[in-house]
Amino acid sequence: MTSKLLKYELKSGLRSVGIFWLALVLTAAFAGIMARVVSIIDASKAELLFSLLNSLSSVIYGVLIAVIAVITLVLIIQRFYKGLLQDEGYLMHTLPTTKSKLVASKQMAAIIIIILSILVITISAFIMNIISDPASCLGSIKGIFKAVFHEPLFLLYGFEFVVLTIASFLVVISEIYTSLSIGQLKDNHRILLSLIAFFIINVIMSAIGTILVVQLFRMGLPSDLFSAIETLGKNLTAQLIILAALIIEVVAIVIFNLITVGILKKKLNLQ
Amino acid sequence: MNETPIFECSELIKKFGSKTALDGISLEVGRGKIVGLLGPNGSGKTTLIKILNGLIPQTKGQVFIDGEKPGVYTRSVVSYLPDKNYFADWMKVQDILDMFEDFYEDFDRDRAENMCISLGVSLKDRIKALSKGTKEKVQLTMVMCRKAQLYLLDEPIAGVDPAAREFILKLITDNFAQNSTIVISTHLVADIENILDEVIFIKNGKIIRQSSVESIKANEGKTVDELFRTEFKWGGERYDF
Repeated sequence: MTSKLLKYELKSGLRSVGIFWLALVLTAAFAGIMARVVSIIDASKAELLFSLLNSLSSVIYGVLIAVIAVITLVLIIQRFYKGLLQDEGYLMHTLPTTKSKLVASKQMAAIIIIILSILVITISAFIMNIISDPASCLGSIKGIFKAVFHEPLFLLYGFEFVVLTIASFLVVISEIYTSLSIGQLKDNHRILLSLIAFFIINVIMSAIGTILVVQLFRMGLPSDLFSAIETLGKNLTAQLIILAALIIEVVAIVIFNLITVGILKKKLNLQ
Repeated sequence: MNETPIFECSELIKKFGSKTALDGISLEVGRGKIVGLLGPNGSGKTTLIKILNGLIPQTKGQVFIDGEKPGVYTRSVVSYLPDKNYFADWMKVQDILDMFEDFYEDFDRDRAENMCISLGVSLKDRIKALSKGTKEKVQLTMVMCRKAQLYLLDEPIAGVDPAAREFILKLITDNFAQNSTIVISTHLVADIENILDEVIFIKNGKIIRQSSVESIKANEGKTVDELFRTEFKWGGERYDF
């Protein structure tokens, strides 16, 4: 059932952002071509035009990245709000499935769209660079591969970075869903209430984070850390820290989801 | 033949803050009939329907649909028409058909496609491009093309012109599967009384009458509409619906 829900979520989401991905890749290719042309042509009347086009395409490229970031954020909010808390909710909440699957499908769709957006941005940057300066681009890629093969732990750290980043995005997505669920409890000013809820949740999270750090320092964290590095080595210590960060993020996601699903089960306020 | 009531409620209470929307409702509805859930605006009809299809939980009391508490199973046997358009604007009619086919095993896609075409709606039409009336008809088509055990139709004829009303009522009666029960909530009694087998009058969150249309005619010597107008007088005056 979750996969069916996910199919419709992705279909809805990709419609909105897909066109901007295409525009970004095309702009990157154009910007790459312009940069290449500017680098090879001699000074002539045409140079000014190509320089202008080069600058313009680079600016458009930057603006498109910003637009994709904003649209992705708006999409995350809109798909949850419109899909579950407004009129569409009359259909979604009466499908033969559970509330947790409804929420999970939205989360999965959101994280897939974020990952695809990052991939498209990376690919577009690669296209721009490989066209404008193939030798330098290939050199950089070779350098990266060389570093990875020289130090295989880079791969592990790279993988962990990706996992932690995805978990961080999921924390924010879950926090947004919880805030929107709290906001819908009232009949009026739901968005304002959601913003206030988001702000308060952030304050609470910061407070918990500060308390945790203070407690850890009181328990002698710096000296523990130094002794851990001495006894376990820096890599194993780093792995433990990454694991702890991941556990904290998973706990936050679980708590947010419990609150969101609980509100949708007990206090759904469709208008 | 299944003898379990299609739904039953006992001592059902629903409160929104200090306001009591349903005040100790107990009722049992059998299978194979068209039931009118009749009452003025704000009497608790929509709240009762929302509880029956599991959209909101009750504050107290119990509800069973086909012997089960509202949940995943009951949602698979209940076909619900809210008084809102619940399709996403980005969808095409084709997407809606796909969605219903994906989620409801009892959905008759061929019948739904044919009915859409007979409405003059192309499967490639976007929901956004359809008129309000056509959207309502497409939505009712999807709901009625399921072979559900219980149909909950919330105000299906409110706000539509007489021609559309006739179409909607024909669609409901033509697609009424044997042994299924249809509950139609409305305050427009005169328009639907000819298709009703049973009526439930609801007032201020309380059931004030549940009886068959036949018995009303035989015992009271009145039409359902006349009885309704008598029961729901407003401040001593008749309440004109």
